[in-house]
Amino acid sequence: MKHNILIGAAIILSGIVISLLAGQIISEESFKDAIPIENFSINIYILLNNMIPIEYVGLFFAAFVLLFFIYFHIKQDKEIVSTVIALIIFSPAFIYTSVNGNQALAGLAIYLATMIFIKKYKYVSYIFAALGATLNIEIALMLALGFLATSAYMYKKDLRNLFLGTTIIAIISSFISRSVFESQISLSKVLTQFIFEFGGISGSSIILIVIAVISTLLFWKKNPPIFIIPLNIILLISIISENHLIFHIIISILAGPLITRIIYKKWSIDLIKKSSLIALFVLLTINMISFYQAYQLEDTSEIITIISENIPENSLILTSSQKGYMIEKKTGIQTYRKYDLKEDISEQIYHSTSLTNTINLIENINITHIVITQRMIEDIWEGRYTGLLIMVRDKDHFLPLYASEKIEIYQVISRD
Amino acid sequence: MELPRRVPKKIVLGLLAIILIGVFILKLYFMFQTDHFQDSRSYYHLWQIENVGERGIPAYTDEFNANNKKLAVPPGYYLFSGLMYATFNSIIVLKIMEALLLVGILIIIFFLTKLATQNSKAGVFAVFLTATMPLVFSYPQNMLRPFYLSILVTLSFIYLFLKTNTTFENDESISNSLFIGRIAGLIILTFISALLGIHALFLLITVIIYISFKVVNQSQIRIYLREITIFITLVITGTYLLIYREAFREHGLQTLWNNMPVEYYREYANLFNIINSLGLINVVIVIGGIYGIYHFFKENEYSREKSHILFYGAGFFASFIMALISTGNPEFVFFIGGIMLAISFSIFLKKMISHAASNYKLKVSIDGYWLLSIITIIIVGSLFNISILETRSVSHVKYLEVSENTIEAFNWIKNETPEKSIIIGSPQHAALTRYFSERMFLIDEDFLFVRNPEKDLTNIKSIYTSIFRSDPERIINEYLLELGLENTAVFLLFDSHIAEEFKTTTPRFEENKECFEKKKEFGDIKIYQFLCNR
Repeated sequence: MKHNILIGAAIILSGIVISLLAGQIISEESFKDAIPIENFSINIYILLNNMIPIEYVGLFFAAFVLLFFIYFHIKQDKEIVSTVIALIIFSPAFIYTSVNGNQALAGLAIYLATMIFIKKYKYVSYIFAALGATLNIEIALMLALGFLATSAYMYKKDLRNLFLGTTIIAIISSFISRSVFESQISLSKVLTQFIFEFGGISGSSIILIVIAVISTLLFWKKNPPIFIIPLNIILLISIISENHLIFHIIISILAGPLITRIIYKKWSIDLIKKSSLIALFVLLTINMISFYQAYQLEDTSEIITIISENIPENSLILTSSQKGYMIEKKTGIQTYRKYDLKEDISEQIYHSTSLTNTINLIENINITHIVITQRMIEDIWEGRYTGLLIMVRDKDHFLPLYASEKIEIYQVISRD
Repeated sequence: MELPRRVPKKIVLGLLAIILIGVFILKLYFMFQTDHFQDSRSYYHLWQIENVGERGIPAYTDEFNANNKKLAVPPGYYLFSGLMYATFNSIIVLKIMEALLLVGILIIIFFLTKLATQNSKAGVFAVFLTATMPLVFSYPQNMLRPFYLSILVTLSFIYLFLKTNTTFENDESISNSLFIGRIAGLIILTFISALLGIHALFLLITVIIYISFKVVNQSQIRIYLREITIFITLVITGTYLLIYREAFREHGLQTLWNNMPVEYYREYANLFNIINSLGLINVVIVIGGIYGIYHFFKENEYSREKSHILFYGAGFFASFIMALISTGNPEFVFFIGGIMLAISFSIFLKKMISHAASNYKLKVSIDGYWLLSIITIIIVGSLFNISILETRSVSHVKYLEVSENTIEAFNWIKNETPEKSIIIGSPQHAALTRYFSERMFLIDEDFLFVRNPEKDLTNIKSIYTSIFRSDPERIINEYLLELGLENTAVFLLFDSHIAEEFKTTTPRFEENKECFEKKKEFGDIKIYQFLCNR
């Protein structure tokens, strides 16, 4: 009973947090997914995007994932399940993904649905698997692994074959997967993107990762390997495919047993138990606070308001290509965006060291306004005042319209 | 020569007292050689200590950095020293504190060795070895060193941890108040240690390696040991992540290396070579200690003593891991490594002597052997060390030496330059600019929250060494534009430290008389003013 109340409270709280965040934040991430790409493919995610307003697609899947965890696991070890759910909900990875609605959450929801139906309604689970496989190769791979693990466990219970099968599939598929070749995976990149403290906004807390490692080591003998090995393989895939949410969920599942032990079991020294719990609670809370602060930096609603107040509608804006789509959709003002990178001359404009050259380039493509955000300064110029950042100070060619800490707007003064 | 038959315990303890008092007096003597501190880094610490004295907390933004940079400061040492400083309002108390901390470390070393060997002579021997490390007295002595406090806290923790462990293994009842008291002590020491910054990771690594060794040896791990490990991991990693939270978000993993430019890091890594270890730790300690560790691993049986030695061994490995991450503080690594080796050597020697006593008919007594060892160490160790130090092959950490001239120059800057000026010099000059001149500077030796340290360092170097006449002018003006300080007066320093660091005998910009005017000269320190603000 106690655990049901805990889970209930967790869901209500998370609902409040998520709706608060979703209410005010619409980040560029969600629009990036909605941009039609060259190799256009129809999948469930894009279909749903057309039916439900984009801000809520993520929430839809997030709710589904939570429901799954509660429904499917409640009959098992309640303490561990409620801890794992709490760890998943109160995490930057989950909230970020929920409000940005990216494909990872959809993939996870479909994966879980497949696993629900696999026992009794095999054919329904096939349909879900087929839907999921359209999303991308990593999710297809996870589904295949899930199928293999479950069926081996359910029907034959021959663990050796299972390990061999899952490992071979994981290794072969990760080599086949395009993402292995396209994105160069380096240790430092993985660390900075997957660990929240190191800068990955949707990463997991390092404390949680440490606990997951210790927990795996301590409870290795108690937990069936069937549980840990597929999890670790999926963990590997999530790293290769840069899927932060799945990474976080698996880390939470691995860390769950140890944290549950910290919370529920009697320790030989109570003083140490209380101190550890306080330390853990403070750490996770502070992570959430700093996540909120970091997220506010990414908040673009203020930028949209400033742009629509200062720039007339028939203008052409030069700004970050990531924000371009969102600015167009929200303000109706055109931005300079080229899908074909060969045609894109924005990089030349940003880094040109000659004023005449910069002006010529800008006039060639009829840009009327330049919008520079703090984020752009960091991304494009790595925080150094060079290139266009120095040129815009030239008052003969650029008229400053608006300047604050977050955003600067310049009007291009035409030569005629 | 007739060697003494048996030395009474009182004499052993008396010997310990003499060593401790000797170290204390010698340390004080060095500390009071000059009124000021001998290196620039001490003035950064002093500035933070004064901040604590005035406002109760260390400064978390550097108002004297031209970028108004944030600082990630572990508050432990500054709070402790700030409290002392505020109470007596004099730097004399800080100097005495340094000497007391050193003596405290030696006392803990005595207890640690005594705990492992159950022999106070071995304890005194370990203290003697540590006190004879050239590192303790051959470095410039008049400095503030936060790591003394860290080492004291860490060693105290290790002592209490082992002591508690011993009690627990001998006596199953855990309800006695002594045990609870010790656990409370461990908790408090963990929190204090966590506030001391990166050095706390040393404690954490030691405990984790110890537990892993026990797991590998398949000895039984008490449940409470697991609990303490979880607790230490949470508190120390957590506090570390909290203190460096923003730095981590800005630099990622690079924070562990203090975001140090590669060039500095290479210089730092070069310090860890065999000649330096022999020269700074003492050849006898290094060889004896390493042989002691080898001997320990050669034996197969598992005993309580072995478990203690494991702990020291773990500390030894930890100190090398620390060498990788605690950049900018090689002294700490050599010091802690030296202590571990000294303890290991003492334990080994004690074992050998008791072994010899029980197996052979001795012509000399056990104490005679101890005495012989001490005399050998004094003779061999000092001869070898003198020869190493004499050849100057020991590359000390480059520190900016502060002299009367330096202080005069920085005081001149304070009195004669406009209040809103920018000072350019070596990164190590920043601490002095901040403390004495109260002026802004361009880059300092703390590279956290600096977006592109490599570029900054190259730029500063180019100002002094570029063969292109226009480079210094262009670079300075670019910085001024970036900082929005276009019309601010800029002064440049040049001294033997910069000459050595940037490998140039005179600043190249000196030839450009239109833009750089020499204003003043104090000994080898020259001050130039930049005149070509765009």
